[in-house]
Amino acid sequence: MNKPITDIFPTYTENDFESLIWHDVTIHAMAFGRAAGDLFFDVDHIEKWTQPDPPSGAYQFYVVPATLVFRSVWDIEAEVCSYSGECQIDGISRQAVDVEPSPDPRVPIIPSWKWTISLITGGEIVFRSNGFDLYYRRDPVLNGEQVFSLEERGGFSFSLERASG
Amino acid sequence: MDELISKSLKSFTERDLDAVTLYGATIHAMAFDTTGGDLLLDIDYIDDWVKPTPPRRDVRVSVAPATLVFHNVYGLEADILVFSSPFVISKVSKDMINDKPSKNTTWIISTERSGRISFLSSGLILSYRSEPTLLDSDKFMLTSQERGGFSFGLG
Repeated sequence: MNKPITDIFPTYTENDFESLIWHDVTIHAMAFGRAAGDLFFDVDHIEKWTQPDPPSGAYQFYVVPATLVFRSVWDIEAEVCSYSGECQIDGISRQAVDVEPSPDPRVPIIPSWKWTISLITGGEIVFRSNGFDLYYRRDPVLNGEQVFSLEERGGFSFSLERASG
Repeated sequence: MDELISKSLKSFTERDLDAVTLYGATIHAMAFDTTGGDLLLDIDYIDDWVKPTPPRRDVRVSVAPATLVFHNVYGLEADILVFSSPFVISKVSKDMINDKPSKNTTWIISTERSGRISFLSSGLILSYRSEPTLLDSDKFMLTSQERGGFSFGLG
């Protein structure tokens, strides 16, 4: 049975933005959540890169299937080019958006940003949003690859829950 | 009670595109299976428009959650603009070589106000994931609860 959304906590949020790695993160799927205007990405997040141990010379990565949810999204513009369908993030940048205060002083001002997701495979996805929540769906594992196969990651998912066990 | 004209059509392929339209289908999610080269779209498919039976005067639509899969996709280019409106398909067109579907068929998914997606693909299959639900014609899409959340399942 699904847990109530209020009992599910993200692993990271926009408050952790500066410390999170986005380079080489693979986007497997994206979805538009109509009710709250949220934008979902099903990704393999790379939590950490490990320095190569000589003489191997190869980096290893702590990788985890995760759901990245940008909250209250508007003005989405995307230009995506991908010859083989692969979609990898080069980087994510953000720029604060000035929000017009309400005439009613009781209405709180919620910070907003213009987000730009640049893709290694070509193009970018640009939108405005109040922030994001990143939900790990299980514990990260040390991997020689930066991406899981569909079978390894359990297919596509936009679940916010962490698998038990 | 209005009579729903059933086509008993639970799935179709590119060969049915002349008879079946994807007009009005809402795209909720998209995914790419790089293993098989498939582009998957989670959509609300308009199964049929339902004529009113007096005393009803309003046309209604029957809508089914469905998965639209394009096979052997490459050369994908998406140019998308979504402000607050849903991502609704206006037309799916194909540019075939010698009038025969092939790996080199160019497909273009056009939307009403939200841009377009083009790619090469050998063909498509659309599978209903459940029976259609009857909606008022000003609602072309199901709620998350009605459609069982996002899915790329094949029925």
